[in-house]
Amino acid sequence: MAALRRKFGEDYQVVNTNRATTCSAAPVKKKRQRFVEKNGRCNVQHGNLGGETSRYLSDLFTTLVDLKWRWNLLIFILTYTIAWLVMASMWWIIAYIRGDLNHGHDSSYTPCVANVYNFPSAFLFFIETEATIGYGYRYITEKCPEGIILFLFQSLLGSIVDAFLIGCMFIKMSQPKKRAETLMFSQDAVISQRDGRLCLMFRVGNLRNSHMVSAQIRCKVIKSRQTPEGEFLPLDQCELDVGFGTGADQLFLVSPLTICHEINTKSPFFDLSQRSLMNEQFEIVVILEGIVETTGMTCQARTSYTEDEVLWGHRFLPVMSLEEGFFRVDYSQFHSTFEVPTPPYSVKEHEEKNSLPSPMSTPTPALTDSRGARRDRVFSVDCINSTEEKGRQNVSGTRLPSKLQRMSSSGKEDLQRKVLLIGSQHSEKACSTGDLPLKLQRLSSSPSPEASNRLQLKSLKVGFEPMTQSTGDLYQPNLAPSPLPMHSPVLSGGGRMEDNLPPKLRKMNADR
Amino acid sequence: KSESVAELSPQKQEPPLLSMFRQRYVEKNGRCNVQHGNMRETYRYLTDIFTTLVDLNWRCSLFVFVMAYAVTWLFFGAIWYLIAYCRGDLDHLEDEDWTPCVNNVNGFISAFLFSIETETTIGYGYRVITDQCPVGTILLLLQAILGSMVNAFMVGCMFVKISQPNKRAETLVFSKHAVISLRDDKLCLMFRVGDLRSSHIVGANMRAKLIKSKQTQEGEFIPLDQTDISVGFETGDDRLFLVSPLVISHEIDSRSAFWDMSQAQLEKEDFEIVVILEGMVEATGMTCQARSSYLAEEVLWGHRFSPMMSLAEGFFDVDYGAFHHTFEVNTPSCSARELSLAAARLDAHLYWSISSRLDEEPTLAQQAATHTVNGLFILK
Repeated sequence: MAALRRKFGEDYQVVNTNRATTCSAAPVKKKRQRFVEKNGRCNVQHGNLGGETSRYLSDLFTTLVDLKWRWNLLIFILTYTIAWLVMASMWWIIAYIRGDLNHGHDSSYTPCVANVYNFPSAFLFFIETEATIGYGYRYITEKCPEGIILFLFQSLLGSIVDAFLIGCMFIKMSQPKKRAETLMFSQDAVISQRDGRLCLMFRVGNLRNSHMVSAQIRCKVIKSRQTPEGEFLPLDQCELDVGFGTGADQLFLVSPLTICHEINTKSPFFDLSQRSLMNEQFEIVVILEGIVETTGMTCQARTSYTEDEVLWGHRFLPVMSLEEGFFRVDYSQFHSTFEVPTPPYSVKEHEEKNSLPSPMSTPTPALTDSRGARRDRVFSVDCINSTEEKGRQNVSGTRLPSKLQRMSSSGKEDLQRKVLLIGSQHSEKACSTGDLPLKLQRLSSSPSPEASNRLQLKSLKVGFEPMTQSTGDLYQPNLAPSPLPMHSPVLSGGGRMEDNLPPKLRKMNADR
Repeated sequence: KSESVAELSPQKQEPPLLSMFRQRYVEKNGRCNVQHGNMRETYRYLTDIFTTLVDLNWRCSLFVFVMAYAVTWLFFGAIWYLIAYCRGDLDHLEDEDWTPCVNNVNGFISAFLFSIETETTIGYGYRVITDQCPVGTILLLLQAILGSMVNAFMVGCMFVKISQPNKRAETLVFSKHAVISLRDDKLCLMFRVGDLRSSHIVGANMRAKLIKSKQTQEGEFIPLDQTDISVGFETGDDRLFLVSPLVISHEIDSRSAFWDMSQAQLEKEDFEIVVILEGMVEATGMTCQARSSYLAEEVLWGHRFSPMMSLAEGFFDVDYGAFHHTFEVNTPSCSARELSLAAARLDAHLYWSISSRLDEEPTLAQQAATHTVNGLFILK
């Protein structure tokens, strides 16, 4: 991530200044190489196989079926022609050795094959035998034992080669992968909200009336990344959940369906916002598998969406309408989208904003036992109880009591983590506060009430670094509970920092 | 047209469907009422020509079959005729010393007959190709190869069309109605599925989808939204062993879409349940799919399916006359949610350390229930 950020470092400035003009176009991006094309073909070539090429010949059948149609036809015709030429020449050799060729039209002489007296006639005889036409003008006589043996051999070999080539032809014609041509995916994927949750959606449609049995859809996100241990994973694939756990990935595909991936904590797009979408580089590969109803063979349709084909804040136009006695699908609207108002924040920022303004942090067991801390802790416990009671007395209808409940029950760990983060070292980039300087850059151009608080936070962070020596001291001011108003959550967050600052600064001044 | 669907509020959309005849998404026999229109990319159908041909109905299929053969025969017949014409064979019909390309071809009809005999490899022998005609040899070669290719393709299409696995779905039956009644103190939505043949369906699995239009909080109207109805996905109960008719049951729990549906509400609801049974035909190993659907008015509240199995001498006898029959049973008309709340209230006294009087006198359980309900109110 750090490498990518450094690479796109200058892009940040460019995007910020051009933000007023276009949000969708990234001016510095050049055309990037896709892993999978829109039609499903994969841009991977296998090279430098070395001694492994013999494997392709061992599996001759699949090799033949995998070839393009023109190569198949060429092989087909060549096999027949060359084999026939070779065999025909053998017939001609027999005739030559026997001396039939000199007794062309001699009615008393019985040649091996009647009426074969030169190469063209030998060839014709061969074709007639091989294709089982058998006109009858040229026929084999019984005076020719070597001819009979060759005849047997030719019949058998001819049948085998025939069956093999025709089998290849049939398999190639009835290939289930052709069925994927009549499975359509939308041109773009969209991100918008559904029932309050941010979702990534795309559309899939079946153009035929015959069904796809056991249709199943799955998605992969292809994104290069570097592990903390330093290993660079190029084109790393991770799974995108489109309903695997609930069975919603088994589709009933009769009319176009919108497949929806809900962006939550487990999603790889958890920290994707409208701005980061312009600077990230990923590819979503969609795989739809199912059994062709007519042949019973499994087929797979693929497509991919790069980051510039993902539209933030759009929705698909509906394609279904009700007619007399049936539902009509209008495929001219299949790829169309329209804009809807969508908050540009990522799900992560959204959740952070919701959980940040908790004014009291819960008493954490990991605290030190210094007297000052204990005192503060006791005080905070009382305060917690008061706020919790206040919350319970509140009529359930506003969001705040639920926030408190969340905070008291499950939010404890979050808060503890946040407290730790605020006091942690600056160098840890993996945590959310590591993004803070960048957030500040982004927010600098947009006036918002949070900006001032965030700026204060940044300055506070700078001041925090030398303070990480004693965690007990750190926790003290954070636990200093002041009855803050809960109606302006963000401001209270900033306000809390301000209240906590004076004792800390006082301490700093005292130390120095 | 389609834009207007988005503009129309769902309230305006739904009443016309309810008051008139309600348009089904899937028929009872599994056919889907969807037509694809305004498709611009028709090249896709031609790239996948095999499925296009196999998907045609029998009349069109036979027509294509006949046409494929007839066209190739005529084409090659015309070329043989052309060769004879260009060589001058037609002018030297009575000439004894002239060796034509093909013996006894003296017109278009005989050229056509010769082409048929060659391509179908009958080869009577009256009309024979001579060795004085290299062009004819090449043409013979081409026609033999093409003939076998067209043969293979047509026979393959025919074979695939005959052995289509979706015909197996004709002998898989679903009950006409779905019922809702109590099973083990839980409301369940049930329907029956049966296999009319003695041969098995291998790897049969059942799934159901609820088709109901909905509108999201943000105002997006999703027409005919599909949600999953669990018929045993997590426990593996959706994998059936289908030898005798089975009653498939969907337990209405808190995650179900019918959690808040009571009997009165069922009469006002508008949804469609599509049930899908997939499995492999035992003979061919090809997967088939049988479908059916239940509208809201085909779901009967408070009924149960009549039993159809009886024990005869050495085997179990299944009476398909009773397959669709249901009979009424006593079922509470409240929704599943209300039922679970009532059950929780009745059980609440077990968690209280108050008077054991409640435990000693089960006949007073009703009184106790009202007491506990009041108690809970006070606490809240």
